[in-house]
Amino acid sequence: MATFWESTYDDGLPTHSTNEQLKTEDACRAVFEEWINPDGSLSRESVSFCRTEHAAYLKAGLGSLAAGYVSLDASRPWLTYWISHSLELLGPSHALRGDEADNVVGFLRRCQVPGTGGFAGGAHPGQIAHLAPTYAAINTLVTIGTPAALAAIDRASLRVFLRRMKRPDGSFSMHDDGECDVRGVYTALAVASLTNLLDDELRRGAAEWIASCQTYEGGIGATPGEEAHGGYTFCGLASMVLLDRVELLRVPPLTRWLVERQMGVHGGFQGRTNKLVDGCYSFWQGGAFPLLEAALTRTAELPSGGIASLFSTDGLLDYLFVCCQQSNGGLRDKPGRGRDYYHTCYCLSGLAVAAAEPEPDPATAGTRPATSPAHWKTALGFVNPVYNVSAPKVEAALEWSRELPLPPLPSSLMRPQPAPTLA
Amino acid sequence: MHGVKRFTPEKRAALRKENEERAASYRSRSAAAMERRAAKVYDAASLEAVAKVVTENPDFATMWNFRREVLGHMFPDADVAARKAACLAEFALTQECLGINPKSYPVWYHREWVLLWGECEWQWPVELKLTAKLLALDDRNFHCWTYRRNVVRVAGVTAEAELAFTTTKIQANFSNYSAWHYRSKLLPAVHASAGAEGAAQLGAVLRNELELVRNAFFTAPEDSSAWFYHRWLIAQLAPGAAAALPPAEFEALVRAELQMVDELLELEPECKWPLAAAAFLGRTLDTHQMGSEETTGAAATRIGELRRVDALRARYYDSAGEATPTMARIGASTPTMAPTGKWYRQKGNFYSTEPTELASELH
Repeated sequence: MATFWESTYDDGLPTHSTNEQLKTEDACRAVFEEWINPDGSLSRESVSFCRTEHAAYLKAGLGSLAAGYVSLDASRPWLTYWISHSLELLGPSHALRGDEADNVVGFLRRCQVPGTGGFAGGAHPGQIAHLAPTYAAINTLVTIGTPAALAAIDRASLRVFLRRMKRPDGSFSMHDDGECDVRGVYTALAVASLTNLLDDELRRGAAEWIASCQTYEGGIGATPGEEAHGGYTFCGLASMVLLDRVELLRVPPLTRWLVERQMGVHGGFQGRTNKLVDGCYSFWQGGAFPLLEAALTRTAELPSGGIASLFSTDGLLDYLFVCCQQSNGGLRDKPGRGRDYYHTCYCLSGLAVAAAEPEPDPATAGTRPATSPAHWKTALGFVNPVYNVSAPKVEAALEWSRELPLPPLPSSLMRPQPAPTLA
Repeated sequence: MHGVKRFTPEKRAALRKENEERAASYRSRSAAAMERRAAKVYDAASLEAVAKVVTENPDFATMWNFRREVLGHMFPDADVAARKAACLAEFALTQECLGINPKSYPVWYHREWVLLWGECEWQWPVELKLTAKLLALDDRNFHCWTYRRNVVRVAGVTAEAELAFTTTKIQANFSNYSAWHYRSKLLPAVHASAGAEGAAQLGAVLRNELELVRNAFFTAPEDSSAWFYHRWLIAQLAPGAAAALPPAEFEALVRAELQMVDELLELEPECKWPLAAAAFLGRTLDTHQMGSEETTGAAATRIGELRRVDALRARYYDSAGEATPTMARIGASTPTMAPTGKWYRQKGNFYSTEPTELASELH
């Protein structure tokens, strides 16, 4: 299960040489060649969206909540998020409903840590709360969106947890006595925003800290001084949107860094300079473009073709439909790799973002005409890229939390942070 | 959609059985360790119980927290000498876990904690060797690079020594962008003396760096790593920057770089990165009012070629371009965004919150 921020037993080849790049390009080319028309064009119309197969693969994954996936033992709410979000995007007839949804809600309720707040990576009593599974759990509950799902969120203890994770420098620890990086800020702010807990103390210094993680190339690293990385760039930019402080970032180099991460040969995204393509960055990099667009639109600086003029949405759709889909369901990192729930979720999320873009204006369309067929463009529902949750479900959650009062903070539950580490 | 490995039913059944057994055994070990934590049993047997879990699942943060609780209770006084044996055991365990997952957040965090807790000065050289070894296996592991930087900081390793380390990494592999990036952090630290003297020193070193990247360019022009670093170098030497050269010298340098890139393009006319560098260098001259009709025209031609060679980004080159006035203004402006995340409504129909119309089950 290769994720950029979870267990990474198998995160890309440990190589980065031009040879590996050429091998990957060849593997993609071979897959594309299966869909080439006699005239040399790509037969996009023939490439179906394997909706039923994807849904079946995802539903089967709900069973593995109980067993299997030892590596996910401390991050089971991720599994519920990857699966429920993917199913939601596949449409009303596949979204989690009824008993299936109730079981997930019940499971997440057991992952919630009473008193000290937040969600742990599993339902085993005694596991500590952690911001990553907390984000995954809240996103799952918002995606399910029933009154019971939203009511399962204990806002009072969640507030205690989020405040306890806040560090003096404005960033957030991932858990008590745990590491700190841009993921912490993003997950804390996203969760706080959905549940109407985003107060001045949680905001304090966060934007400045994120700005200090932007590198000279323009992307954002995990902590100050690290090289730019797609996952952290998304987390940092989305945090800035939540904080309404995008202007603290240097936007032109950020734009260029993102634009350069799309790969010329197959249209997918790489996570860092000189790394191989990986389907999951379809969202981490691709999903950053609508966030960027929001910033550029406000200042009337957006190029006339919209974000479709900043990256090739058609190129990304080619990569996802042809190279990442498995005909037996699920999506993958790249040809030659197996499917998993993480990649299925982030490939589909990136697909939803790219498909939602309007066709570029023919006057500014450049040399690459719009090519994606209608059944690609309408394959999925709309995603709110700030949270990576279905847009209507985000709307409903914000509606739900808007009127809820800020719960008080019992001082007895505020445990002090441990001594800082080297970093 | 193809290229999926298929197992025979027998093979699949065997794999499933093996998985189930492994999971069951893991679950019982994990439950045993959790019970000890709940009962607040802080002894060597608890350390052993945790080790049996994390060597299967290194990412289980609760286990590492428990381990630190146990260690804190077993060695409560300030006598760090007594902690040495315990620290050695922690280093061995975390090293084993990094062998399983070299990118595990809680494992790296724990190792760093031990290094501080035990005041393990004696371990610093080992840590530098270990990170060098892990970076030889995967020179892009950013967890390992970050840990190394933290060790370097506490151990007081000089920026010069680290610079030499990155040189060996780059010589081993020009594509190692992580090492190039680290250099951009180290060079200003090596030449940190204040004032004009420091700036001049740094300037001289950066000019030497241009030689190093030149070798990379001519060895593998299609490799993007050194090209990104090249931009950083030029930016440091520009008027107003940390190691600003006198304007006339800067202009001469940019023109020399442009000539070098043009020579490379004679050999590799279809290569994206030198085309982008030529456009960037030409625009840099314009930005500092050093351009001529000829260089401005050449840059425009290069963007045209770039647009053709790198068709995926054609619209970006057209609309945003490289350092065009429009893009330069963006960073200075102040967007205001609705704080709730409702901003996507700005997109009109495309982020409509109406029930989405999905294509019927097409296939």
